[in-house]
Amino acid sequence: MTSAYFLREVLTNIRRSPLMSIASVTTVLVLTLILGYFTTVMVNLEALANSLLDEVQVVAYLDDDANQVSVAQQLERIPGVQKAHFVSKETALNKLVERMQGRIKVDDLTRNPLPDSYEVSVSSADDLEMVAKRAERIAGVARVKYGEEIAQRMLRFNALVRGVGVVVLGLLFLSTVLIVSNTIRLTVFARRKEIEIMQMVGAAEWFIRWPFILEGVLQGLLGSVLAAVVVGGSYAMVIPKLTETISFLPMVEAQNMLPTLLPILILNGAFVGALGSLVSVNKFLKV
Amino acid sequence: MWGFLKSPEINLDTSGQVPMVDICELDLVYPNGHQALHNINLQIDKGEFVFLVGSTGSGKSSILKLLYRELHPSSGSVLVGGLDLGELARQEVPYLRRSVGVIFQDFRLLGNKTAAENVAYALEITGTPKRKIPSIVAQVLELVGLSDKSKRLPSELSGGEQQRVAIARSLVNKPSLLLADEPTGNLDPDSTWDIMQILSRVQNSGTTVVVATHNQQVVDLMRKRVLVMKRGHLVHDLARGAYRLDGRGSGLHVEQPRAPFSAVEVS
Repeated sequence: MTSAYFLREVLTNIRRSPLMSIASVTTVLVLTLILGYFTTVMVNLEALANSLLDEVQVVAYLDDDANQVSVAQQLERIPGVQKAHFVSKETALNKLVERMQGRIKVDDLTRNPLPDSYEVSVSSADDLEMVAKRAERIAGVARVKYGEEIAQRMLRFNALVRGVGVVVLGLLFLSTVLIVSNTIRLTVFARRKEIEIMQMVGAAEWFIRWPFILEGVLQGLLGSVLAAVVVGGSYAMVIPKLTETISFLPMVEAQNMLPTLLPILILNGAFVGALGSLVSVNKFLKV
Repeated sequence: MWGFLKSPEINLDTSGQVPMVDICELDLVYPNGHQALHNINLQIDKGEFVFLVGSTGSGKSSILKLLYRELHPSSGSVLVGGLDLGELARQEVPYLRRSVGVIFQDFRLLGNKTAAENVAYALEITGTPKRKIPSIVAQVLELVGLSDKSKRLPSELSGGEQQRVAIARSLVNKPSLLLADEPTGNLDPDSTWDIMQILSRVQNSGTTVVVATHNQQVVDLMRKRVLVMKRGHLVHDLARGAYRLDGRGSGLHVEQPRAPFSAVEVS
């Protein structure tokens, strides 16, 4: 009987002030959209930074006539080198073809333009420069590439992305709660007389609160589900196209992003709605 | 928020062995520093009918608010049915209010509910089983003489009828104590007498009734115990029948003893 009562109260509330409900739903919708898009950008930036960091290693490209075994031995003798991993020109070509997603074909090439190489993993990013310099002097090594600068920048960038992300997400969350609580406060305010009467005749506080909290949850859910549909739909649509155009950027694929992101967005919407309601209704429940 | 997990039972002592209302050395100071009540000592027994009189701002309403725990005493104690309201937890207040009915000058009915629905509302929100509600509502509306108007909205009822609905609502949870704050303040003399008669019947059924009013005529004619408030002090506590105001209502005659009252004797 009580749950039916609560539901009836919620529906009455929404019917009585549809504009306020629309305002709440729209607020949650817009803020969840911002939250959702912001999160996808953050996650992608971090994935990018991580993938770049992973690639930070010294790559020694070999002359065509180099003695692979001798080069490997000399590379591994350099202090700070963990391992020298041989990448044949064929492997390198296959990797490139894979990354370009079929836009170049092995068959199109008359010969493999890529050299053999060693990917030298270094125990610390600080050693990169020294290792690179010594590797360059080894006979049979044509060219050495390493991305120290990029590594440092990426590390700093990653920290920045996280810091900014946490602050912005926190602010977004807070502002959503405040705005929702403000719009719901108007519906609570419109019913303050009723609340007063309920308190006067002895309604328990939770009994007074629940319809409003349910209303908040419902509005939050509605707004966030709509936003999740938009964020999810657009992400699933845009990412394949982006990967196609800028193939060197490692994007987080939709199936790796959305199953986690969307439930979080929806739950967040419901939570924000509940919290907003609670904040408002408590203001009117002072005994 | 998780209050529904436990429902504190409030049991007032209605045996008559303790006073229904026991106020002791009570001071009430508002946050702005204004002292609304000074050293009030007052006992009201079970089943009594008491008028609280005094001009606006004399502290009548404050006393009522203390009795249904809208206000907390600054010092001293307020006991209702042996229960110290100062020690009542916030979540227990609703359960106190099921034993203390309150009616107001402005009726405080829900405008979108019929008379019967307004009364039923007080039962619904206290968790009364749904099938029991209609018969209880019919009974209480019968008691206040509104059986034929149960389906009317408040806007379709006269002031007196609205107040009767409010009384019905306050009685529906069978309170031990009924508080009325200027219940006839908005009513014409006929309706006023209706309401007073109903309140008398409520008293006769064993409920303690406390009425705050400045309708001197009513007090004069009803001949009940009268507590006179002045600027936050309880200045007179006059036994039943010992109170009469002069014609202009500007002063107070205390006649004791007094001949049986001949005019409109209500109870």
